[in-house]
Amino acid sequence: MPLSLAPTAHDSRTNAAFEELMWALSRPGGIRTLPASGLASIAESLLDRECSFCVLDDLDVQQAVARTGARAVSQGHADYIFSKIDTTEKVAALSGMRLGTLAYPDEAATLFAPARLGAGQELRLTGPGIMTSLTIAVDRVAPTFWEMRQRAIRYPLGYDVYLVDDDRVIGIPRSTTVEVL
Amino acid sequence: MKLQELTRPWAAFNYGFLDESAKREIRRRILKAIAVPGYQVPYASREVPMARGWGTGGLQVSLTILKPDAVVKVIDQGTDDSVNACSIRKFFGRVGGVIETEDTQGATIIQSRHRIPEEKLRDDQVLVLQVPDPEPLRTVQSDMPVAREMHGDADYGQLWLILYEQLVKSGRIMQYTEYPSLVNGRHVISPSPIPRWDVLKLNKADHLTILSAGREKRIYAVPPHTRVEPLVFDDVPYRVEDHQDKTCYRTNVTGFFMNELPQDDGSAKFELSDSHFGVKHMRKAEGEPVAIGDTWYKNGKMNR
Amino acid sequence: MAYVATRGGEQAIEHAERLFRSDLGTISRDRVDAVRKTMPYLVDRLMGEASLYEPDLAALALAQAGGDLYEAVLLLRAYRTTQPRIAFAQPVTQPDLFTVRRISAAFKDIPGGQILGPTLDYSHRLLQVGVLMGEDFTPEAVPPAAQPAPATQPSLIDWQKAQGIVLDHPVETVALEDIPDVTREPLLFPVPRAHKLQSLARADTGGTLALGYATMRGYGDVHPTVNELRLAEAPVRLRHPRGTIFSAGRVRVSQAEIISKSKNLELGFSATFGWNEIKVIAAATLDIASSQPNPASAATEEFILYHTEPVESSGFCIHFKLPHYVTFQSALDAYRRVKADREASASTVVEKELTSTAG
Repeated sequence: MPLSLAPTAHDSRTNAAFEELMWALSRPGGIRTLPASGLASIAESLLDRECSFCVLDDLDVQQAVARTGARAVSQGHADYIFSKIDTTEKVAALSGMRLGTLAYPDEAATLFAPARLGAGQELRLTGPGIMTSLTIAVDRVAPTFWEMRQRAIRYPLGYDVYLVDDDRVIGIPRSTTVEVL
Repeated sequence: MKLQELTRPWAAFNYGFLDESAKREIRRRILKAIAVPGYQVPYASREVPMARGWGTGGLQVSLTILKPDAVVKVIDQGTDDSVNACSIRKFFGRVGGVIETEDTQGATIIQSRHRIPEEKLRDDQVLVLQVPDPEPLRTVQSDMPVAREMHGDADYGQLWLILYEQLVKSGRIMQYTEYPSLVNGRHVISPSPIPRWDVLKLNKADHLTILSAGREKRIYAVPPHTRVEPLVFDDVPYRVEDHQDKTCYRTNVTGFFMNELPQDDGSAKFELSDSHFGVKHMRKAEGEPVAIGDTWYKNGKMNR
Repeated sequence: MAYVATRGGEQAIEHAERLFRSDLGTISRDRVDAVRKTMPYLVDRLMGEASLYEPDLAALALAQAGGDLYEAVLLLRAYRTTQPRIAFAQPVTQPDLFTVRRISAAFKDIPGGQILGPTLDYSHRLLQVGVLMGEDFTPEAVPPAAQPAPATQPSLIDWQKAQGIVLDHPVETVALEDIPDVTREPLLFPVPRAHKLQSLARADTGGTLALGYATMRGYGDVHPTVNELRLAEAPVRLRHPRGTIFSAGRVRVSQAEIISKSKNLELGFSATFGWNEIKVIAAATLDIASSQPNPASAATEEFILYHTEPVESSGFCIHFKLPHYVTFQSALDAYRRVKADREASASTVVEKELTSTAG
């Protein structure tokens, strides 16, 4: 019986997108390059009918995510949340993001947010995946987001965040300490 | 919408054997495992064409991250030539068309049963460890839901008690492999049945380690640059196996983890457990241009 | 001395596989058909444990594995992993079943009657050695009944529930696609009922029997009566995207209802693909045993569901054949050091004594 030795273009794309997310979260703050721009390629590599999502604002992503078969729910119930976090209002709308439980910290939400990498607010990151510390600059993230994150995270409870700038992505897991400089 | 738009051309197997929904689930779990280092993420764990207990967990993780230009090394007890390692490596070739290697330096994915290679792994490499029993609390708590609560509460007192009892009974901590270790200062893991010699290699490493138990259906991870600290008492230091002065009879290399080979006359010979590390030394001694990577251990001691 | 050729292991495993397969010879369509036609109960047991209903594939798995049932289950389960999900079938209820055999030990007679169906229960277990001497064993003809038995049978348990004799399990109505699926989710305790019944449906027959037998013998507070045992064919009905519900065929199923007379009359249930009476009776008994408030330690949900899993249990059992010399080496080291420490402290004591007596 012949075995499939070549991945389809779709398989390769989702595989590559995941690999970048994996390294982005393993080395928080380190910029990785996705195979395609935007949040849709992330959605298709991770989501399917066995998870839930919430999209705030961006209609294009909404359709791409819905195509995966994932269930649309509110931000307080979603596994995967896609939202801008550039204004105080948008950040406040995400105040209910799931933090997981002590027995199941993996039930926490993951947030994918557009941002601008390499400019703007300077942040110092420390924690797993970072040798000593790493200073990065991130723009289009309201300062209230970092405050909300600081209050919400009680490790191992907390959400994990990816910031996406066109086809570049960084990951900030809940295990990372973020100091706003 | 037409049916044709929903379907894809039929193929006997997906690339990498696992179908896309299995891969997506494992991808989601791997990310959560990285986000909470040392926490055991439950996953569905599909059946694969290999018996449970023979590395199906490691296999599923490797199959998920596999791609055609991946370079895969598979070892069992440190050797590439072990029958089980051969079988798994062949499977990757069959379902993934990947490049197979024995060279630790050349691999992008290293799947291993019970050893970490002696050459340091780099930041572009993933180490996938096969795990028979992911639960370090099993000896003190056989009820898995209760063990989960204990991890949630960082309730590890009973583990310390077991180690203390060993100290009192035998004069030293008797835990040989699967040495309970604290990850990121928060979750205790079983680092899989790697020897104590290898556990120190996980601490603040450059590479990513993913541990996967197929039968028990748990994935956990140690990201790069993350603390992994074997549980020890302040006044009782961690002790690795006494191999610092052992010499491999084949290569004359000293100070790495060895296999002991009983001899007819009652004595023992030692050979390097990391077999390809040994092969490289032999080739080098014969004049071949061989790249032997930097090692964690130097002169039989962990270099930290 | 040259190092062992690194291809040695690969060649060894290839030849080992060839040796196994050469004993079995060529596997042809004929052989598969023969297995399927002549060993239907083995095929049924396999389909149940693999949770994959396709008699040809099951017969092929048996032929390929030379009859090694655990190998055959693994073959089928691994194949199942690769198959896509295209639809969810409609739920099947008791009156839907095309019932071939249906008996109750709880009552002498029941609505619809006691239908014995095909069974060896009352036969004399005499080996027909004449066959080996050339006398074919031709079964006697079955005389047709005056009237055919009804195709379906009413549910006895419904009568008992209506009478208020037995308490029903709480029923949860969910959309078809939301029914928990144990093959796509990890088993976490306490398990949802769907996971428990699915796990028991695909449980190892021998393991289920062993644990069920222990329960029946008194390990635990269960005193079972077979309320109803059925061998039937269940329709597989699907909904077309346009809305029509149509039949995609029938599958053989067996099911058992067990009633336990403990504090109350409690109902245990198990069903599986294929006809496998031993398994469903034992499993339904374990269903009750594991639902007790304080189950015996060998009858908790965790214990029975973990240890009756055929692929996991057989795989782990035989994994002990794998080399374990690194862990063994590490253990040797620990024991040797203890010995060395003791000898060292003993000689220190002796030294101290000598010094003190000398001084």
